[in-house]
Amino acid sequence: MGRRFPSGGGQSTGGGGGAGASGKYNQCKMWSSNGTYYWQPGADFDESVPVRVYVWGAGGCGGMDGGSGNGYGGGGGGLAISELTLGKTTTYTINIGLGSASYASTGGTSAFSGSGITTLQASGGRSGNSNSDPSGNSTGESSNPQSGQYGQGGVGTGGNIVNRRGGRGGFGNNSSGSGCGGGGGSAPAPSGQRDGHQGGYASSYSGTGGASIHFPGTGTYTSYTSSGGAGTAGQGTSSVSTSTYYSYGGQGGAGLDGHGGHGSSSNTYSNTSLATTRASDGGGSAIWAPNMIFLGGGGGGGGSATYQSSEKAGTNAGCGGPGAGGGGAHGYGGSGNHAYMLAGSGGILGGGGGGDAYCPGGAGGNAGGGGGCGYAMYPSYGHGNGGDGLVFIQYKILV
Amino acid sequence: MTKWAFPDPNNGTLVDVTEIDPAKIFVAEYAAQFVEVPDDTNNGDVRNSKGKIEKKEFVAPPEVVQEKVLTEADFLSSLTRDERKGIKAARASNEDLDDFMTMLEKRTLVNMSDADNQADVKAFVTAKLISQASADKILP
Repeated sequence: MGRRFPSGGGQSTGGGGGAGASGKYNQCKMWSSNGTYYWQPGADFDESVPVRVYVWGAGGCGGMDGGSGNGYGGGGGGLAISELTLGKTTTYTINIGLGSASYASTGGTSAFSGSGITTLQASGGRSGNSNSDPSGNSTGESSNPQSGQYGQGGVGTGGNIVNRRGGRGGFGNNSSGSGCGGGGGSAPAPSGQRDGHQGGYASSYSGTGGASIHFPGTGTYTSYTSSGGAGTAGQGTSSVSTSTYYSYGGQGGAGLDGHGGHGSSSNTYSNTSLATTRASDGGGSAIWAPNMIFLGGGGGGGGSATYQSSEKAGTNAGCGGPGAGGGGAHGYGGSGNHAYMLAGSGGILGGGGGGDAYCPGGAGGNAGGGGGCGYAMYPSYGHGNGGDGLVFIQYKILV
Repeated sequence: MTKWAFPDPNNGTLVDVTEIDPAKIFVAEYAAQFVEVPDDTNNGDVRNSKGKIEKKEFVAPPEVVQEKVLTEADFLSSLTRDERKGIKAARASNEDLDDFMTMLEKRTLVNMSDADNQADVKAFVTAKLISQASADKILP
């Protein structure tokens, strides 16, 4: 059985001594937080077996900052994959891009470089209020299909197996009355078979789910609703109505080996909060092993909010499991009758959920885009931050 | 120490700030766009059109003022027994008082940070329905 890691985590995490599936490798290593690191394979390294290197750029953050911006979700980081012949005594440099925390900026670039190899790198996703185009194209592309859009995904460069583009952040809108937040885009799946997915598209007074590595975030059906985050086995759903008596959130999408989070519900009657059920997080696990990468998380459930005269009732959205998106949050109404709720964060490579006005977006998992927010009162507040980049390698030692 | 950073062509925001020559970390086309920056530069700082570095500003949010919201029970318990009796008797002849108490009974809450509600309480002091000491307990 392969070694299991929690999503996110330390600076350099080694694994080995077994195999998640049979294959040519028996070791693996991960770098997952911003910084520059050095790695030398060592005397027992088998130089005859090319090392498989995965590089993901960092995620962009949501496009809201204290009332400025547009409420879009951030883009996911790009992905570059190579198989490289490395030397036992050569020191290689690993750079992990910083997840963006600036609503009009970009996530950092991650890279793997060293003497005698072609550098591979992946640029970071754009934050929701940035429409600058990253350089380069995904494998098979002749031009950038996201060009000129807000919250674009980053793109891989220099990968000799494949280069992929991160998913875009979903649409949001800045308004202290009817604002809405788009979901964060996902990073490309480790298989490298296609680009990342787009975060959910928001309607007024709503927050949408983040994208997973396999599915886009679900847009909200109408105003005053929320959607659950996408899972690795299916999309989330949107709630379809809310009143001064009741509210419920959309369901998180199913995971490959875990459930989607259920949406929350909130009910009021005659100034009394009658029943509130919180959204749940997506289930599922991750395997990062010498011959396997598996992300099976479900999407986070959507949040809910309602009010009855002076009584307000609501719950936060749920977070996504590995590879899945966080749920969206809504707060019901404008500033005067608003419950302040939180969107869910994405799992590793997943996008964060978007938040209604006054409801901060969820953070992206590693390389995932952060969720947008419809309106925020204070500077440096409102957006979900993008996740830091990620580098993972699989290699063989002589035993 | 030399530092480099990549300026976002859209707005000059600096990312990928590094103390290592970018040509040794990144692909050549990307590394060529890096600029040298001062030692105290951080990710998120902005390089303006004149090449000057502007530090990323963190603006502290304003102090949050907690609203004073009283339940009907809290409001009445702030008064003396004689004041409560007096209010009960005066409601029939004082429309403003009756309106205030009716709203309190129906909503079960009153926001004493609201300027109109504060003016009502001050008027009740002027009309000698409640004492200034009781008003001080009620008002924020």
